[in-house]
Amino acid sequence: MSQNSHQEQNLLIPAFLQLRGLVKQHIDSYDYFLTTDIKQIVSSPSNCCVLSDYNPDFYLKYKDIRVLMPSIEEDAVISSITPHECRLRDLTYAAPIEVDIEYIKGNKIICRSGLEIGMMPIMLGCCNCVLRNKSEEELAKMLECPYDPRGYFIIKGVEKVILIQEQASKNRIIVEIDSKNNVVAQVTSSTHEKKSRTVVQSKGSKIYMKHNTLSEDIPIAIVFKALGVQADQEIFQLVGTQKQYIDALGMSLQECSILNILTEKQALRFIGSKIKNSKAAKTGRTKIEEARDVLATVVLSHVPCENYDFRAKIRYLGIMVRKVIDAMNDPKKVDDRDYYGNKRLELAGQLVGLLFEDLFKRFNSDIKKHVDKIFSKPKSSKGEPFDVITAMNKKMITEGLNNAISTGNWSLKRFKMERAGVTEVLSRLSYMSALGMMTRINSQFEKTRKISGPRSLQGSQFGMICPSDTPEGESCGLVKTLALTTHITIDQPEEQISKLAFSLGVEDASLFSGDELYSPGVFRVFLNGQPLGVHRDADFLINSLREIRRKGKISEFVSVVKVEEEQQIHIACDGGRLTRPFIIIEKCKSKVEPKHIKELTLGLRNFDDFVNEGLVEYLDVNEENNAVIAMRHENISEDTTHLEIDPFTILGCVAGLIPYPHHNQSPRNTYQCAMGKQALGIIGYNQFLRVDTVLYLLAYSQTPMVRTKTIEIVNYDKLPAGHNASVAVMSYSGYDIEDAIILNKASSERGFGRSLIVKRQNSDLRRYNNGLSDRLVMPPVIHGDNPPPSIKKFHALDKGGIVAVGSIVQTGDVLVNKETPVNKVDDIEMSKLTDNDFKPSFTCFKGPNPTQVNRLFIACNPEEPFLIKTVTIETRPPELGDKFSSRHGQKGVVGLIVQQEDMPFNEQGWCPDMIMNPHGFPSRMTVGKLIELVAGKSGVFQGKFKYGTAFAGDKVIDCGEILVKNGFNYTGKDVLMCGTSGELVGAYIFSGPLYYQKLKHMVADKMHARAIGPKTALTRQPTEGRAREGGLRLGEMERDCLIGYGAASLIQERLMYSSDVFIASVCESCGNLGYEQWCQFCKSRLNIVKVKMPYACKLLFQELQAMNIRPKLNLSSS
Amino acid sequence: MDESLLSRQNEPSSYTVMNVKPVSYICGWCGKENEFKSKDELRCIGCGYRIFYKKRLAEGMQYEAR
Amino acid sequence: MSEVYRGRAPNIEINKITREKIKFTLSGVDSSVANSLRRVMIAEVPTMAIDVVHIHTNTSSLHDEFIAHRLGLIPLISENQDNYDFPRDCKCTGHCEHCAVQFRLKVKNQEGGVLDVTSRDLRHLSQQGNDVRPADSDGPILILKLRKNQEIDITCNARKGIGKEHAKWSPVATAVFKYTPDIYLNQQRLESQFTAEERKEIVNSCPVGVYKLNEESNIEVVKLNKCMFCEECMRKGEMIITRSASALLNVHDNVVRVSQLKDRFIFKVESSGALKPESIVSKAFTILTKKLDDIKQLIPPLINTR
Repeated sequence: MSQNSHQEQNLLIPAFLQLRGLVKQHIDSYDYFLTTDIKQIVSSPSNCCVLSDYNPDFYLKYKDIRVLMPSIEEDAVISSITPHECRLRDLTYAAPIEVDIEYIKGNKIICRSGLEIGMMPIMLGCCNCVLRNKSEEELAKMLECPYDPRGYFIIKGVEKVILIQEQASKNRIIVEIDSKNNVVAQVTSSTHEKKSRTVVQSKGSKIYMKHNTLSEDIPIAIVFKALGVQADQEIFQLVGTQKQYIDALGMSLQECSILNILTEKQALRFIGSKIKNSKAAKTGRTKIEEARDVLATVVLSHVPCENYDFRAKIRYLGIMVRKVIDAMNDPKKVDDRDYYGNKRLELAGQLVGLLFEDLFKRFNSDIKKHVDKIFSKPKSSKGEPFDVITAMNKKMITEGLNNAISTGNWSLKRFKMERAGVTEVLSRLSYMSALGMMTRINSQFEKTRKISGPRSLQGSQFGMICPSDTPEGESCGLVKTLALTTHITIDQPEEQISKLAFSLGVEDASLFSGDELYSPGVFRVFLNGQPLGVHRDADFLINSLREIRRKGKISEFVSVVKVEEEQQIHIACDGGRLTRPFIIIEKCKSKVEPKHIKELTLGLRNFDDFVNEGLVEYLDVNEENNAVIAMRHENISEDTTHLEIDPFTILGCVAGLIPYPHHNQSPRNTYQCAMGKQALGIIGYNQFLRVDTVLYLLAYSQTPMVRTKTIEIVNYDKLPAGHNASVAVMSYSGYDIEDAIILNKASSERGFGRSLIVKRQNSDLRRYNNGLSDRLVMPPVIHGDNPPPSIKKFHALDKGGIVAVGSIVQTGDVLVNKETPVNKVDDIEMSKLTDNDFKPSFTCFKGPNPTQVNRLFIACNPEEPFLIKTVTIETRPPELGDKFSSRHGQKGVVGLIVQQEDMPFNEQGWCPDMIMNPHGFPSRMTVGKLIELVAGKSGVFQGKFKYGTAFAGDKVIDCGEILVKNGFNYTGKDVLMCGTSGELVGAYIFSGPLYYQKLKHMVADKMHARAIGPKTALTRQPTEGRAREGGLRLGEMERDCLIGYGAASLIQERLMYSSDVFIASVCESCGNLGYEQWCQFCKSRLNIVKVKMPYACKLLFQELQAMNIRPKLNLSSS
Repeated sequence: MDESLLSRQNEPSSYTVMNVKPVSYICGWCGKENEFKSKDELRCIGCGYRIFYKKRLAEGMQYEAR
Repeated sequence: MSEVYRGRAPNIEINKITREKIKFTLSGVDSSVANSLRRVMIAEVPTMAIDVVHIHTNTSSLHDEFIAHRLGLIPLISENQDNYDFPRDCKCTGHCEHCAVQFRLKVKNQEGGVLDVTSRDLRHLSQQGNDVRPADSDGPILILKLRKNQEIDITCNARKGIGKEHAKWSPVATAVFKYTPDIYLNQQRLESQFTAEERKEIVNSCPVGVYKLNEESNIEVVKLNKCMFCEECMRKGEMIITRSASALLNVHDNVVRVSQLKDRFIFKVESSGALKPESIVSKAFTILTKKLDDIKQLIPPLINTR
């Protein structure tokens, strides 16, 4: 194949992402929840009907459940809503949940369909969202940005993201070494009903089973006996009859006979006596019955067990014991906890599903309680028969969902699970920060633990998780980002796969004795961690399954893995696995041929066709272990099974912005990932219609000169955040040390780095329970040119008591002149209200600079009858101290702004926008930045964008040649003349365009100083912090300096006179503090003297007195 | 606070009179002008939409072109 | 070379004048004079530019300050700027016809589609000041776009100012000079020590084509003014001698030497459109001399009489 066609395969990536969007994983999982999962939840036997303990005839049965399109009910009118209306009006973007029910009323069976039981928050872009499959024009009509990632929720007008949660996979055996050097095999069983953890552990030479319902470790042999395996021989067969297993199990079996437990009953009694919080006494069951129940329902609860048929459980336990013994003999068999194949990612759909099921159960139990209450009372013969619909509380489900999503507290009663921080407010600082948040993975690990394992990059994360994009500091490595092509699977039904496996020759495990399971050459087959059976020809099974998958007969996300050393085949179709697409290679030939790519470019096929035709397939982390993947075409050898679509996809979307990242020192790329999210730019096409609390925008944002493929794929070229600054790398004036940059004043006046700060302030007129409500008041009339500040602050108001649109406001100016009733509880007659019944509570503007009120709107929602939102826009040119950064983790603040005529210039008239000190390069080793400059400069003269895609991109050689062709130096250096003297600069200056980002940290938002100002009430010391106009602290270390120097009076002044000086009355005779010349202790005012002390000191004395310590002041005159 | 007292100086002190003069707002959907008294429900007479934008200051504003 | 004092008489030689560009050679002066001229052209030649913007109606998608900034940057033809006073010198309060030209921009899109509002829509408010108008002979300057029923109504004052205060008053797009290149070819060594092939290499090393091989295959300087001091030719010459890629330049020993004449400057001035390029230059001189005169005025009379 020609070189050209190899590059064309990269077109697959845009095709992939175009079809999928960047947040497909969220939307897919929510779609699955809304269409499938929610129906399964409601039809599951434990949820589908409500019965009464008092009336055996009564039943309520759910027949179907549906989620409709988002709408809102106001004044009994149901109208559909758009996401943008929800943002503006502080509404929740939610849709009614409808059920079809059948129930008994009186003695009739009644069917109701379309009964609403609550509102379900709708994820933007999911199958129930009005934005789904809409064209750009249709979106524009709904005031949506076509490039908005979606995948978040809108709860009370706030955009909320359910972050991807990383967890150890459920229902899989993990073998570990614990702190006492014992081998531990553990399983976290998770079903819809229950969650529990079962541990098989070696202790010395014996093996035990541990479970949180049991107070003690149970010898493994007793467990086997309790499960009905009475013969020791049978136990051996279940684990393995080879020598090492018999040796290891010997001691455990012996223990059994020492305790004299030989029968099933004895074993069950033993276990029964170890159950924590036994309910045997209450329910009147025997210990044996209870033990059997625990074994059936709680221990290894994910293994099916019907009618106390323990065979599957016995086999599972046998496997666990075998794994423990294997690991005892060979430490290599211990699993790696951080291996990504053992992780599952939980998405919005699963999380909301768990929550909904919990709420639905509570909803049903509330109905049951109500029903029982009704039926427990003697029936009155008269009147309407009882109707269950009256017992349904719609608010419960609605509010439960809304509260969880808006607070992020996921509390599931049935799992006794409390999780905080599941959701976050979608960051709209820049387009990239929103995108970055949608692809973020949160780990459940505690941040405080000082272990490096889960934090470090794991080999199995390759290609799935971005190696660069993680925060620095405490959550480093715990918060991760998905790579560009990663897809997270959703649950697939198991039945079809297991049926298929059986028909492909898997023999059911229950037909075999333990011994035959472990005979060599026989592979044990597992489906989602559950033993399915054995197969004698592993390769046949694997190849046929893969072939069927490639033909599209089973889901493309089913993974089939052969683990040679364990003689196992693992088939997985569960949700939360990480997968990514690869090109299939057969006989050293790529299945994707140039003709396919051509069809792709012509729009005749899309990415799904590639998958359906078996040209491209998805591999999960485990199946990658069975594949030989070539990075590039030239690496294909005879063994190669797959080919990477493009190496740059190992990076995520934020790291993908960096040009030539493969030339940079690795931490620099990580720094840029953090800073790219703080860069001001364009947030969306609807940015001026949005009403976020604060929006930082760039007035003239430019698309980068040096692009990457990722930039185009994620539409960063359409919503950019930065400028192509002309940069000269040279020293200038000394105001550029320590990474400071020099800015050209003319450039900034022409719009370089000019930012817009859009702020929103809310005010609402509430209605109180006593019928009163807040009211708007006319502003005072302002007379004269120089009114006092207390009146001047009303200047922007109009006769309506609300700020006039277009006026300029400053800090402290009133935006809404509102008054609140003093009494909000008692009923007051309207006509008797006077002005004294109201107190002012106006909304004031806050901000560093005078700002224009851009727009103001009023709206209402079911909770708030009158909502006033004021939006101000402030224009800020760059100033001294504003922070800028290139795309290579090189940040700097403006050190000096220089007149254009003072800037160096070249003979063509070029003059830099910005000067950067060359000392920034050697220690940072950001070679990518140098290349970006050369590539950018060549692109300017060629009139083309240049590409700095990772592991590819335009070559420096080519760029240099273009420069030479255009009459420039090969290396990008120029002869410059000094702007102040006109002399030649004594060196060639490396200069050209670099993409610079303006970061949100601006001096105007941080600058702070004070002379006098507010004090805290308790200590009378100055307040702390800029927001409270606080004082600047003279801290301990500064104080130490002054003590060392001996500046006693200065210390006295700083620490007392300028802080909390207080003149205390002290009684000389008793040494107590007095008050207003009176000593309460001596009952006299004779010996009172005035003493100056810090108020904090007086406070300390009083607090000591309050705990029965009497501080006594002995005074002497100096 | 004295600011609120100031606002009352020129006005007779009764609940209804103290109320501000109604200001007209533009419907965010159909553009129709609506006037609301303090207890009115916010709902456009024309189209039923519930978001209303305030009109811009008539006299205009002055800026430095920099 | 510059150490040698040549009896120099300042001279200006105009190489090229177009509507927006002027190229001239200033010789016989030091870089300080040349640079002063350049700096005055950028920062101190006054022009007119919109400075105060009064926005009455604005229902466009851009907010007021954004539009004001854009209006300010429109170049206005300021050939007659001498007729206007700096606002700070004018006796009036606010503005008058002596210090300001008023414009009005009133556009409403009634047809639908997208309507471009450009500098052509700026109308004079009064009869006076028709000489000050947007410099848009190269096509209208886009200010903003309006959708159906969007409307703007703006009055603005153009005032006189200098580039030092704000870049919008700078009359130039570029105002630069360069030193005149001085190329020395040691023809003797080139002929004796270099092969024809190697001489060709030197010729080809120049990215801008300063050199040419003549009929005798000797190097000849043909486009001297194109030279941009990249020293590729010097490096090549050195490289051929030492045959090592990392040649260290020993300037005095080289066969090719590139240096600058320190008293001959080639100026290139590109106008923003506000003033004709030649008037920028001549005004710059006027301002420069006036500055010196002003300083001269400050010399105490005592010294003058002594």
